[in-house]
Amino acid sequence: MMAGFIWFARWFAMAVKELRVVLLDKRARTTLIISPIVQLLLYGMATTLEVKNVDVGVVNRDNGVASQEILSGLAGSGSIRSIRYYPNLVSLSEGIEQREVLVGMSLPPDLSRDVAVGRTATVGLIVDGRNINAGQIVAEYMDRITRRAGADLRPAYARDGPELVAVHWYNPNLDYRWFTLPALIAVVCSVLVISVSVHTFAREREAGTIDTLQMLPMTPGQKLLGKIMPAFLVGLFNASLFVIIIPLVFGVPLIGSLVLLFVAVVAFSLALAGVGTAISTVSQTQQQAFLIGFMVITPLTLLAGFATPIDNMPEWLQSIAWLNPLRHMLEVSHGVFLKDIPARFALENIGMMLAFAGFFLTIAYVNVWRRFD
Amino acid sequence: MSSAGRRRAAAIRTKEWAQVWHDPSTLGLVVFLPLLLIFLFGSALSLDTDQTRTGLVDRDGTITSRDLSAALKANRYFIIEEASEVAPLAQRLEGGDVRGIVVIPDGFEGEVTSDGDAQVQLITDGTQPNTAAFLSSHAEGVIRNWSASRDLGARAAAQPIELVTRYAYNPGLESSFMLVPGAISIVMAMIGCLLTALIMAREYERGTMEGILSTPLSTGALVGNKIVPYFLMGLASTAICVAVATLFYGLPLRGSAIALLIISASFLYAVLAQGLWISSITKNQFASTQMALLLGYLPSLLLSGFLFELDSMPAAIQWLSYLVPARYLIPPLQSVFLVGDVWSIFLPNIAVLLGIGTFFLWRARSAIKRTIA
Amino acid sequence: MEAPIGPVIRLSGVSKSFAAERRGAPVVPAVRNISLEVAPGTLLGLVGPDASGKTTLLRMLAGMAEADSGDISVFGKSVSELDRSLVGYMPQGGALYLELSVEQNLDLYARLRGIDPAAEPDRIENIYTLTGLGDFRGRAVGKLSGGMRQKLAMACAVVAAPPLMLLDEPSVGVDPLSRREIWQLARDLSGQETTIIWATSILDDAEKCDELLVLHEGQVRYSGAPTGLTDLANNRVYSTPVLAGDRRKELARVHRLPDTIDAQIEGDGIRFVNRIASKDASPAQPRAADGFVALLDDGLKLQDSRLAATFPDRTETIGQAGAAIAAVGLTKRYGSFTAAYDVSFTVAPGEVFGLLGPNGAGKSTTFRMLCGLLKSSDGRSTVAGQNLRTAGPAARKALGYMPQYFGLYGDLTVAANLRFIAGAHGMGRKEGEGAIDDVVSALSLESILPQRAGLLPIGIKQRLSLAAAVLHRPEVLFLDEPTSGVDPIVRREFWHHINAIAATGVAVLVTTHFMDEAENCDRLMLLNQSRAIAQGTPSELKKGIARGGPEPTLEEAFIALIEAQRRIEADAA
Repeated sequence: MMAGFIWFARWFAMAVKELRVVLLDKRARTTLIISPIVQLLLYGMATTLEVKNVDVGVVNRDNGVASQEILSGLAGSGSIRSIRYYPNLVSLSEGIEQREVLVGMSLPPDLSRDVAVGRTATVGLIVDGRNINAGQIVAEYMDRITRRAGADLRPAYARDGPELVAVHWYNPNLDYRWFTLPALIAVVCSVLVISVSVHTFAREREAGTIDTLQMLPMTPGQKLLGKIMPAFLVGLFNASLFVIIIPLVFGVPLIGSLVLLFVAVVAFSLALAGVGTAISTVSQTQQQAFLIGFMVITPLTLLAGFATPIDNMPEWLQSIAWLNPLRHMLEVSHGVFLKDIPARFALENIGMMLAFAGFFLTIAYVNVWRRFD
Repeated sequence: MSSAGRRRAAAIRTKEWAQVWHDPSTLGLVVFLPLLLIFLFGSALSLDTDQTRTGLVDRDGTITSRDLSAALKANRYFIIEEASEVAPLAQRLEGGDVRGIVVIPDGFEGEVTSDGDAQVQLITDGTQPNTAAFLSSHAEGVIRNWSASRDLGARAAAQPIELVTRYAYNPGLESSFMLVPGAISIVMAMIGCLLTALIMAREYERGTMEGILSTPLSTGALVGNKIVPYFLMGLASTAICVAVATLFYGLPLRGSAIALLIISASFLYAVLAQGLWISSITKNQFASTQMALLLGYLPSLLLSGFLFELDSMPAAIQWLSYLVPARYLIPPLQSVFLVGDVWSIFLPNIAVLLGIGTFFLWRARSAIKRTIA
Repeated sequence: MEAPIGPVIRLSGVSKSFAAERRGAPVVPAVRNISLEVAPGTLLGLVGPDASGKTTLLRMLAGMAEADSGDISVFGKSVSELDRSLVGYMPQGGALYLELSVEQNLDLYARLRGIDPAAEPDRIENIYTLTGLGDFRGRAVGKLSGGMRQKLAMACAVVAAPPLMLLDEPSVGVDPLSRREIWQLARDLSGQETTIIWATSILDDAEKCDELLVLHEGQVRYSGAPTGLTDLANNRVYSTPVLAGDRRKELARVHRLPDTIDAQIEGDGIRFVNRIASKDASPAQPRAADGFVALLDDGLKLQDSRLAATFPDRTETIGQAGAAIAAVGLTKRYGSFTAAYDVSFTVAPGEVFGLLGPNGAGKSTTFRMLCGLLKSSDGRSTVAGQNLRTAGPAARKALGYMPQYFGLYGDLTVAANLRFIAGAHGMGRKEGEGAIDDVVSALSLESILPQRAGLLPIGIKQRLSLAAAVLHRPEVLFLDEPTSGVDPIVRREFWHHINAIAATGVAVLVTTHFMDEAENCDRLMLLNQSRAIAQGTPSELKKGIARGGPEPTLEEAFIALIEAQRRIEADAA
């Protein structure tokens, strides 16, 4: 009982000291608490795969109904901001080159006549390939608009064959924010947790306090568990805040188990704090620790399935990405927010994160323990 | 400049180089980060959704429905998992193992042959909106083609108006052509902003600033020369990026090398100045790194327009993006690789970058006081 | 350059305050209404206790801080238009790049100060010769001994031989030999017309200056020749002989006398400064340090150590068999370099054992091996019966450790630091608060509790370090240069506590550069070039070198022993 109390007192002293060191600096405090919220709001609104406000260029050499039908289709599209007219293809190409318009449509002189006589008329579309992601999406909008125009002009020919009726489960309108915001819990918090935890031991080394720390009667476990507290709590705090803000402010449904989500956040914060602390134990200076931490967090973020889907990665990389705690956090977060996944699925991911945390905390422990060499 | 002035300037540069050589993590960042990012963006990350695991339930079980199934299976975008019931597939969808389920309903053949309203259902996993959208447009395309190929007789020209799309500058639709310039911007932003943010703060933290400031060296010369090595390292990193991207990932460099150099140099100037400003106001490595991540890394990733369309964002965020240096890098960088020397795009962006750099340099200079107390 | 006419430095009514840590708190005055003139070629000693304003004054002269009011002119011009090439300023600690080599640091500062090392190789070579750093050009500064570091820092400040040198504590943490060398270096690098301002808390240094300025709480308390300061203690300094063994008790007794300002052990007697003339003791020759303590006398009697009073009574362990600290053949090798060789000694409970030696002699290496911070290549050591390297964390509870460099958290407040240490020792909240209250009131730290530890002056930092080391009332106390950088008044107070703590039965191991302090030790070991060259009581060491003449001081014994070893090695080579 007494021994347990003393163990706790030592760990507590370490944790309180670490929290003070991290939170004492006003600027650090601001960046650690205000900035995640700002980031959530900012990136929650900024990240979208929808393409809106498109500028379209048109070369119209047809004076008939067909071009009018297409142009009114363009004008009626909610995604298009402006239509610019160019006298010829050369000037349209220049307009694309100068980024005046993202796509350019060329309506040929015999467009209306072809449609009238039942010949398939060809409309040319040039897309700025510098940004093929948006380009492909806009090309699809254009395809839809021209097809609808054709169908309106000649209803008899407008049969597409079987119709595809798509139902999007969990996110019926494919609102991209429903994807982004739960993902930001992992992305924003991981950067925070890593950047706090990499400083822990490196800072003591640089400041020359490491000897004092070593001469105190604390076990490596007490030191380590005390050291990871700020990073862990910063992660936990911000992630929990996100979990509150995302449904309330952005209206993203949270239909799954909050308990599962919370357990996942704990495992996730531990995993990231573990990596950061392990990095810190092998670094000589804060600069080194931070740069290594940064070089670790970058691939973890990019391979999480946030910037691009994991499904699109090569097979072998998908297996590597299986080790990535961010990826598992993302799965649980999306799963709990939108799908109400069964506990079994969530626990698999949480188990992976805990294994990851255990591995790196062990490395950190061994380093702290061996430091007496 | 007097010879003593030149000597002082050279002395600062020599010292910075010595410190860079002394700390392998700096060189690691310069060499390793570009390789890592180009590799990830070139090989690992892709917005091109292909090979999506998709479930298929053929409730019709006729020759026609099997023909459509075969068309779906033959398409390179799908890896089809067939089942007789929706329920087991729905469970796989919940677990994220399949991203969509195509259901061919009972009576499909009858509707198709009688020209009725034949329908095909698609259920997607809306938690991955990107994949879901691609999935439904791919499925739609497959059905349309299948239908067209069936009706080769009377309605061969099923569409009155056909849209022929050409992707300028990137006809092969390589998403790496779009992502690699983005990777270059992250590399430069990190080396520029993060490293410089650290180096100045370090001088304050270790007390060496007092020694340097007590010499006849002017603060302008200190700031100007301190960043020279980092400027050159940033350029070296960019060169590594460009070399790897063009040699191994087939990224064309259609513009001139000199234009690329001028664009990169202007961007580096802006972010180096930003880093200097950060460290001169924080005077603390920990706070500097937090701010560099917040103001340097994340905006370069999210608000520069290479992953997410700036035009589609809410107006307030678009306005905010005007403050992000990377926003002025992405358009000229994409153009110099994929189009050529489009000076009408380069010059305004370069001008803004130089302006931003000069502004931050001016702020940094006034923040670095000659006096310590 | 034209020879400056009139005083080099002129201050009139200069004041400066600092904003308080917390908003709303009153400003902290650093320098109050100082007026001063310094003639060319003067060596001015700037003396004063911690936080007296020495550093602020030097910074203002170097153009590194602005005065709130008053005028400062340097070389006849306002300091705001200061030509920095005329000034060589050495900030406290030297502003060296620890990861860079000696040569890289010197080259950097030479070029910043307008010297091209390639064009003037003789000047640079001369500096290497004078500093004795020629063989260490490629060594990282962080791996140099304290003395070498200070020499390099001074060389970096004055490499261009400027007509005005502003040196902030250049001899802090430096052994007597190196201190002599640093003085010599300043002399060698300066000409007839060079003006030097030398801030120091070591009064032996101050005695060597042309003029002295004693600051206290930002105000000038004395200005004039060093002899004038010494004269303040005329007819006030006495010494009384004591029988060996009772010296510390006798010292405590003298301290308790109502008129004692300061007392210390010297040789076989107690030397003390009295407020009034004394008839019972024989007069002694006053020194600058005596004048200093007389000048700044607060009129209060030195209390019995309240710090020692918090320790449990372990006096029954005194005289028992078994050593509290034992080192047997401790050796540390780094490749071909031996940092400590075959060091053996024991310290009994209640004993104060001193490790002496020049910078780089192996004191810290020995210290760190005993602490378990460093693995010994050979030999054994125990502290309170345990080998600290293998015994596990709990064994370290027996030990209080005060490192050579400030080892507490600069970003945290004093109170937060102490709370952390208490918790780390496993004290609960109540127990911890009690222990903290004890050390805080014993060492008068109340007023600085809410301040950030990193911003404290060096002497107060040392006091805080001592508080942290004894918070858990250990049975063994390790003090690595506890008095480096503190003024004579604080040093006296420190030794007062150390002696009283030892009297409770604590074994104390201490390293020091100050020979007058070493007199406080029961036994001493002298290390040089990684080896123990002498061991014994202070009297034994002195007698060992006495050759019939008057009894040598410990400092003379120290230097003689080291020179003797150098001769032996030279003969062997």
